[in-house]
Amino acid sequence: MTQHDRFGDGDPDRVDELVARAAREHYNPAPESPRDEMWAVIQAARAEHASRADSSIVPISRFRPRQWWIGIAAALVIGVAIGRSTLFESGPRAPQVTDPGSAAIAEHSGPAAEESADARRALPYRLAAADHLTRSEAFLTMFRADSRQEQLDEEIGTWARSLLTRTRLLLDSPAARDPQMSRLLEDLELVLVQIVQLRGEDPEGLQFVDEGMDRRQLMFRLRAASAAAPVTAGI
Amino acid sequence: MRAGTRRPDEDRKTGNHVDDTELLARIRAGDRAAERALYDAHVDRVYRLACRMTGDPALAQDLTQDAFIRAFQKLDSFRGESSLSTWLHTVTTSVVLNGLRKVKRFHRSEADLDEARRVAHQERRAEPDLKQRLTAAIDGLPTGYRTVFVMHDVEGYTHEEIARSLGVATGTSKAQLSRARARLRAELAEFAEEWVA
Repeated sequence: MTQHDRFGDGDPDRVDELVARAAREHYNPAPESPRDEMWAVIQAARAEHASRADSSIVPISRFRPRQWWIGIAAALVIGVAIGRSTLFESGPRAPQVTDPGSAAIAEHSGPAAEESADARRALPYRLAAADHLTRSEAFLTMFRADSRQEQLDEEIGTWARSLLTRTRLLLDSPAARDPQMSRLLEDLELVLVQIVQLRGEDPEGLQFVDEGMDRRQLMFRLRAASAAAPVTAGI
Repeated sequence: MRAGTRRPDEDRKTGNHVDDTELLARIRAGDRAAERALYDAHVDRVYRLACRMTGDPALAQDLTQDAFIRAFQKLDSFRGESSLSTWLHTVTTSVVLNGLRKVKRFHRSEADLDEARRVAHQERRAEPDLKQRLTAAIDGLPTGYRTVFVMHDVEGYTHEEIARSLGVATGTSKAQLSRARARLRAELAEFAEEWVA
């Protein structure tokens, strides 16, 4: 096609056709559509929607991550609230009992009852942790896919920082009394710190994060924790 | 029909047509393979439009995903007043085009249009590169003109499809296309004169 062919002879219809042809060739041409990747996300979002029949749809979408944080924050707030109310409902503890008879009963019910109360108090936190791990897994999956395509979202640091804050809250919560959960949260914290500290699309930094995730088998452990969440949480 | 663009009617001619009625019945019966077949039949066209409109494949991917999530969610409301293909494209393109308005990066690129126009006007003599000039000229169109131009002249949508997707009259779509073309002719004619000379 010569330059003259492109825009040349002044006939408006001819010019329109040439402009359209050039636009089809040059204006934001689409790469091959990532069908399978999109399908996986669509299915995940639909499954999530189906499991929350009473709430409005929350599509998994990389440019609307704030909905995630709202969910996590809500889960933590509810967790804290339930935990506190459970604490108050459990009433005075053994050291505060002055009546010798009651003290004897409290002593008799002893460690098992205390353990059970502790487990009850920790339940909301474990639920919040399970939710957090699921979302962290989704975030890291997205991060990995993007970093391999060298197309990191500019908001990635912000999202990682939000997840990091929640991870640290959970590390200080009763959810972290479970040693396995504690180790997982600590490893997640390390990886999130590395992502927060990334400067642009630094290939060495990305590789460092990637290797760290592999070394700690983080994705595998997150998936396992997510899969086991209902059992772990006692549901 | 534009090169590189496929419509459902073309798919029929090439043997890729998926029987909508049968598909719908299977989907409503919970057949996942049927859902996937419906998705496969239409996803490329939706994704391509999203790419053209955003210039950002990752963002186009997000928009396409949202579009199909909404479409599957609304499938129960399909009453058969049009073909399933037409209905699906109306829903998905509406979601894509509405989504564009909500995305920060898109707004930012709109805010940069002044810069694009400056490039188009001031630097064209220094670097008469067709791709850059064309991109700047199309980006410089008002949003409505650009949308109709891209959908019709670049991606091969009919005015009826555009009107349904945008919720406007067919006449509005035609008028906007006509104005878009006139603007592009004016923008690019200067280059043509230079190049021809």
